[in-house]
Amino acid sequence: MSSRRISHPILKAAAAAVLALGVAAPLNALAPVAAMAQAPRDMGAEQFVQTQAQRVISVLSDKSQSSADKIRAFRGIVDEVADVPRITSFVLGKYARTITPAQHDRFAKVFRQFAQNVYETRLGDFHGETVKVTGSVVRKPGDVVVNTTISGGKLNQPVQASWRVLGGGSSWKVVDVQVSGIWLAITQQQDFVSTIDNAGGNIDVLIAQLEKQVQQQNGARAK
Amino acid sequence: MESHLGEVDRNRVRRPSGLELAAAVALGLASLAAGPAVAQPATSTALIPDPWEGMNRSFMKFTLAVDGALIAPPVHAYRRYMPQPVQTAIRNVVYNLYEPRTFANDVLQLRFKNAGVTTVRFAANSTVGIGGMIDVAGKTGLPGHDSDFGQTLGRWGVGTGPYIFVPFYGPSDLRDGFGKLADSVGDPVSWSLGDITTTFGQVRTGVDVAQARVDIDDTLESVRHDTADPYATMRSGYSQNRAFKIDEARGVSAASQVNALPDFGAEPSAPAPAKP
Repeated sequence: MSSRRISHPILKAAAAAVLALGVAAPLNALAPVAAMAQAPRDMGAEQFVQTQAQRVISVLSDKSQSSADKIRAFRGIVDEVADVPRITSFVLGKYARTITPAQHDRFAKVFRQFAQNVYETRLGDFHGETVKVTGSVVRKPGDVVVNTTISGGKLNQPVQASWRVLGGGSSWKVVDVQVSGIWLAITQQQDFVSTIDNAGGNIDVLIAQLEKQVQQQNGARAK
Repeated sequence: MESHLGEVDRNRVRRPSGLELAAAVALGLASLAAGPAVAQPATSTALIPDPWEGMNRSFMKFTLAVDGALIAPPVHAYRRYMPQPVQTAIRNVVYNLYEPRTFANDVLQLRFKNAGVTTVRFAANSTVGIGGMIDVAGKTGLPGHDSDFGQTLGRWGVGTGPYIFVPFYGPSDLRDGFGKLADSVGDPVSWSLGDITTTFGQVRTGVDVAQARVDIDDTLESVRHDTADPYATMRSGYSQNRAFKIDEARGVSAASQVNALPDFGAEPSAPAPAKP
């Protein structure tokens, strides 16, 4: 970069702007062509995700609500929109087959508290973002991944999120969410299964550890 | 991380441009000759094999302990007290200087549209964006992406090798660790503006490392406090994220990726034994 060039910052800015706009436009125009997929979509599942994901964000972004109100609203929506019992079994992986009913009850209770504590500390992170469904892939009938772009709010860049929903027609439940390739329920399963594996297959160890962690989380929140 | 191998003879700076050009042309021709892309199966969502789990676990435990005592406090202070626009500007400068490296990997992955986006971003952000401080391209609808040499190797079929937790660096695997070194050695910015032997290179490396730590802060806090087994969670997240990025580079369709998912209710496959 010579000093002569730097002495014409406006010219330079204009050139760069022309470059940016001129090259950017055709590049962007190519995108939809590449995105045109032939795989089957499920419009019912897409509609469900569009409505419910936007609803959750709107509730959480509502400035007139106190955080206690938001937590109450969020808990109601979670049970309505997500298949909590199914997720509860899924995160136990192979141990879902060997767990006793008494252990299952204790696990279901503590897992719910644990997940609530984890997610509810982030309920304040939403600022009116917009969810837009960009398509879906039917893995098999009743098992659909809906792709969305979340933008606006305080996000610097749009975020791609995928929602795995099970159901049919207009009746669907979310079981997993993916961001940057990472599925939350799959990751949770690998976390829990590893913990139980390392305890020699003893599920009580995981339950006891989660109970302890929930207490710590509650303590930290109370501060 | 970026250090030792950055010490390349400065006379060689001119050489790669011709080579790179030739490589780009050759790859371009190859891609034309290859014709339309064939549907590719998705990369496995299984965990990266972890034969060195015991050692990796102790490395992570040690790293988290030192980090919690010495590194996390200043990082939290920076995030809390440094004005947001300053944090954004510093982050943007750091990321802008990664663009030439991203461009090289975009080309090596035959993702020419991405290479074009990277070129425009670098040109616009380095000039109008005042040395990269403002992400003007991002604001006009050209968001950035990163490409690395581990991903390039994965795109051409190189497997992960064993999982490694590198002390004070984080999760990686043999392929990605090698990729990281190759990215540092081949980094066009350190070749043209100064490698680790120069003050520029040293300052840049320091800022890069600090910025990387700031950027993973939320993830690290969440792994620390919101998991039963932080090690297993980090390995799971790393395995999935890398498989996803390599599928992206391979042009695997969303449909193949979705079809590769385990049934919901079935457990994902256990880590495969490491290949020798």
